[in-house]
Amino acid sequence: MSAARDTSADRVTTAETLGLIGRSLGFIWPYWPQILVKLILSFIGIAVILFLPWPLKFLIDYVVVGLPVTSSPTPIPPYIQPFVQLLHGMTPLEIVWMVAAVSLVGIALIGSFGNGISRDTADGNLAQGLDTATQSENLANESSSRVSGLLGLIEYRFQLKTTHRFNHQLRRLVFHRLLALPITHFSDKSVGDAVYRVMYDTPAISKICYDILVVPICNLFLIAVVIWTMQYSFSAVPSLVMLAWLAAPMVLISSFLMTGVARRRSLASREAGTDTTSTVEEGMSNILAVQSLGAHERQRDEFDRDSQESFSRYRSLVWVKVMLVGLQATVACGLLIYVFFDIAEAIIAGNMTPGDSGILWAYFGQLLLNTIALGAVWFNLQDNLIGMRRVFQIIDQQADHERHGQETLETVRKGIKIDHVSYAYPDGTPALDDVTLEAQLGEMVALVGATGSGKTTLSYLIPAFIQPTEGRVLLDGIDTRKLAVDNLRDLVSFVFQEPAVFDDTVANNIRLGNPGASDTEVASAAATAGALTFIRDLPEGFNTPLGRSGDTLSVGQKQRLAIARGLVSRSPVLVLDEPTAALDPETENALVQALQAEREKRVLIVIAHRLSTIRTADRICVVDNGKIVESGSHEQLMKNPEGAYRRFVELQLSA
Amino acid sequence: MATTGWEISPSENPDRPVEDDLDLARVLKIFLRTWPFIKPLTRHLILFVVCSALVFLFTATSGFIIIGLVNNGILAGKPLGLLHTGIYGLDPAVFVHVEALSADARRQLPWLAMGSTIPLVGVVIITGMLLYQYSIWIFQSINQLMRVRLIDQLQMQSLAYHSQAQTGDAIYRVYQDSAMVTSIIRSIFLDPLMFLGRYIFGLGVVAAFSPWLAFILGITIVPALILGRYFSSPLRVAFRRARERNSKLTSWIQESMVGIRVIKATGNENQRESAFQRLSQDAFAAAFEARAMLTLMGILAFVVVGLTVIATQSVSALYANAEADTYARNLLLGFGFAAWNLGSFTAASTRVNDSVGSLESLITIWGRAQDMAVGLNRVFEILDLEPEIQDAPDASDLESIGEGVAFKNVTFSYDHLRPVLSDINLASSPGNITAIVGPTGTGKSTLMSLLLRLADPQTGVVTVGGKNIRDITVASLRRWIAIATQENILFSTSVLENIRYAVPQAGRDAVIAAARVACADEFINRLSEGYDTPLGERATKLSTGQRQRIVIARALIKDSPILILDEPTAALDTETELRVMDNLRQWGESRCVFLITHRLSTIRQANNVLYLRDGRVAAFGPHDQLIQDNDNYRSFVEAETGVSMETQP
Repeated sequence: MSAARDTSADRVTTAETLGLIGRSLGFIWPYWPQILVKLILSFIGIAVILFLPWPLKFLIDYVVVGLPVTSSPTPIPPYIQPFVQLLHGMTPLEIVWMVAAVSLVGIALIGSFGNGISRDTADGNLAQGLDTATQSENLANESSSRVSGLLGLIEYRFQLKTTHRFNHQLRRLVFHRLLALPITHFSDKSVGDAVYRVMYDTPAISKICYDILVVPICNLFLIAVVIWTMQYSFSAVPSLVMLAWLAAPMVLISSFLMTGVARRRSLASREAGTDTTSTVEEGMSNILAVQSLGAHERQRDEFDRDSQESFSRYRSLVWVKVMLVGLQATVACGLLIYVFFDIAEAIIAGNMTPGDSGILWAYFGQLLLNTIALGAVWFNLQDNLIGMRRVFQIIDQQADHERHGQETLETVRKGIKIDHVSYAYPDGTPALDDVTLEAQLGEMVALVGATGSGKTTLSYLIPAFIQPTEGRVLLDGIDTRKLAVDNLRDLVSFVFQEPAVFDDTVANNIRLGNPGASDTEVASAAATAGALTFIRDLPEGFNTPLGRSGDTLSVGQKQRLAIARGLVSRSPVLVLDEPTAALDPETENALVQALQAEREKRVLIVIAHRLSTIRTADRICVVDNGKIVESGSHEQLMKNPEGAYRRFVELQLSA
Repeated sequence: MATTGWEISPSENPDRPVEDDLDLARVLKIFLRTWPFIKPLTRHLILFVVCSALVFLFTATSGFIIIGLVNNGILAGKPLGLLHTGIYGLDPAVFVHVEALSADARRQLPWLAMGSTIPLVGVVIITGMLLYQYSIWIFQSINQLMRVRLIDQLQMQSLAYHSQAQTGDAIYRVYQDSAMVTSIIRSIFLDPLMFLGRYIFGLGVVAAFSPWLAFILGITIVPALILGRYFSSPLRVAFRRARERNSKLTSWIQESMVGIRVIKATGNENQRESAFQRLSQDAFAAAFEARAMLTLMGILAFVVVGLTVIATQSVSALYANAEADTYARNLLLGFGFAAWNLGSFTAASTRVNDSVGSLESLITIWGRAQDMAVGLNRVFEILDLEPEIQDAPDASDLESIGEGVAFKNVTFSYDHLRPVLSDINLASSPGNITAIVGPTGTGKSTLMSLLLRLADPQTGVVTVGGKNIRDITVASLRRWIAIATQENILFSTSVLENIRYAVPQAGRDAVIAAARVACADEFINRLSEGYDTPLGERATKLSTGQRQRIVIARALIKDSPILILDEPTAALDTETELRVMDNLRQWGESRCVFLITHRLSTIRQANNVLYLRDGRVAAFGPHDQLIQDNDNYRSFVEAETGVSMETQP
């Protein structure tokens, strides 16, 4: 995003992984009460899930197969004993009613009745598109419950609320840091990228935290209960117990094996998503260029290509995931098959009842499902790490105000001084070389020079948009770096060459320069800027809403609006970069005259090409190749027959 | 339903009651509208359905066989069916015609069971994976077609539409909403078809076991329908709101980034942030409501379905306990399910669970479809828009530039209220440079927009080569015109790519030649990678004047007979400007060149000057002549330089 290389697409090393996870956990730590509640709710759910296969066993054994109630070759775990006691002496019909009743309660409470097949989970996920960009939508709303029914509903709502709160805080932070970046950070490509980071990368953090904290703990709990039950009830079939111990590790190993591949595909998929977003974004903003160049077909084709690529990468990612699931399913089946023989033998020999097999399938099903989910955590981790990293990249950038001190200056009474300043771009290209410039209150200084000579860069120094590599910029003798940013913004107003207009009313657009400005002040600034007439002509005058980027205004009108914005702020220092390039001479003269009237209270720095504007300045500085080569009033400079300024004027008039 | 592009589209007013019901008529409409995107993939869809059905039937049948083998034979020791003996080569005397299986007999079975299960499972897993991947490919392809069409549509709209819509919204639409279309095709047509198939299949099979079970399974539809109906409208409203708020948030971020310099320069970050906070919270609140409701619906669906399962399970258990005969015992004889036993119980339960699961899926899909319907609306809003400027049915391509460009009595206004241009008459023949001057907002750029046919005048005629441009195909007209815009918009590709943007097939030499005319060649060569320097990050390092020259080069390379330059020299110093103009004059020898400008130095280069004031022609002719004869024009020029014309040599 900045002049520094964008490292967001690089591979994530293990050290970095741990670092990122650590930081994310740090973010979520304040939410530990919520996490605890979620764990408790999950535990309750798990407990009930593990209880429910037993009524079905009894149904099968005592009703379907017709075994007597008292007999059971397999020991019944203590947490089931009370239930069995109830069943003593019941007729099959009564048992059926009993089981049905329990199942009903099960359904209402947790949406399950124990056969493990039709159990539902609470899931509010919306259908999503088939590539990474659209899938991120659901991530921001991550919530789930292992169970359904009342408990499931409660758990779902609770978690969703928590996820929202967390994600809200996080994206607020990211947006804040984005806005806090120094001005020089922003380039044309930033916009789509910014949207992506705030909206679609931030959920990665909550997802990871959930995956790392909640999922493993719940899974471990469940695995523990299953193993314990196996030990207690089914020790007659040792291979079962062994399987219970081995299942988890085996599934996990198969997950790890596929991680490298998954990571690469995920990265590629995410990148492609950003690319397509950028292409659309560009095409939309540049609609005038696209249409007038007759290039919409080309734009469309480009989009087509990008979109295809994005889909294809997603497919490739899905394929890896599918393979992984296939692999795990195979491992799982392998394990079950192995055990099957022992189970069959035990039942044939009478050491287990047919109903027990139901329990086993249910329990092992849960075991495998959860282990696969655990493996998926690792898998998804790769996916989400990239998102996390992109988020932290923004948060870690140095903010504007961090490069500044905390002093304040009430107002500028004397003037500004640029003191032997040199400036080079972050990549080393020199732009300004030992520039010195002074301007007092009441003065208007014009900067002239060829394009690319450094005028704009020079002007950026005054509001400290950029900071000198050597030398200082002083307001009333105080280094601008020492001043607090807010204060500096109050003292220096800058009107940009390419005006930006926001989706708001005309009045509010102007008011950006001074949010507390009254309607009269806004109108008066508009008048001085020569904007009053055309504003009055708009359908709702000052309250007319401007569309995206104010497309209904011409460039000249936008420029006048931007000038009004600068004027309404009443700052003692006003810098205008080519304020009149798009204005006709009459409007410009009117503006310059009006500015003259304001002079006593301000320092005016104006970058201009127009002779009529420049002539009226108290001092003119000619900038060439990053240096000030001439300085003086119009009359003074004209006296020098070889001077750059004189050449410039003559060209203008005799052309 | 075409709009003129001036109305605020319905989706921009979130509090307006939503009228998009998802009834049969609408479903049909959706189908018809999406058909063009589905059509190319029909073959694949059919193949997919058929394969899925085959896999399903195969799985179901094999499942029965294995259930019979395992549950009856191994677990309960009950006799098997003739199918088993047939397939596995077992002796019916030992396995079928007995009361119960001996322990030895039972011990033979696990191997057989495994021998059949493993391949079955393998086949199911592999075909499952393949079919899944296939389905993704199919739907991605459909989505792709739609996305591209959306982009196309958006771009073809005239500028008026874009001034009202928000870009963030546009992007959101292309992505989320077009994704919804494919999901909806899946959810309204494909998935219900498959689930319904399974449900009915289940009904049939279960009926074979007992009509009562089938009855219970059948009436489950009633509460399911009621549930679906009850939730559909509230869900739709909730989803729509969620999407719109999300879109607003995205737009806000976007706008903040685009205008970041102004925001920072005016110290407005706090304002932006508090608005962001509000929008973010709103978005989450709406998302919560929508999803919580969806979850609730899912849970209730399961309750409905769960009751059915309990009922059938209980009934089956009692049948099994009584060892009653199954209904279609002759059919089920082969599987060993002639009477109710553990195998029959399991088989029937499996079918019930599957059917009921399908029903439940149908309900939840219906719930999600409400969300999709909202997305669909927004997509169709765009697809339904007809571009304002369309070719006349008998339009033909532009042949020659002939006598040049002419405006005759042209009047135009954007909003049909205030005319921007009134009664414009001008003519420019090839080899002429016409400067168009006048106060800002007087309609200079608009004049050129009319030439480009970005809009049509209300009265009057614009002709090229004597032909009314309305009779010319838009595509050919625009091929003949190149424009360098006032706003120096560059793309984030290399300089080379930027310059040959409209003419991608142009060679490097052509690019350099164009850059030379625009006096950009020198500074480009000084860039770090010359013509291959990417502009994404560095465009901010180019000065405005440099950007402007690249934009001019971009227009020049089109080599078109008509060239429009909108304020091409605004950011150039006089020296550079002179050089550019010199080059242009040479270049423009057989072309019509229009220059919109303020600068005297530029004006003097032109053959003719068109002076516009308040949207009318106040003067037209050569500069020197107008200076003498036309007072209005003279005072205009004087204002430009602040110097009285009379003192000039």
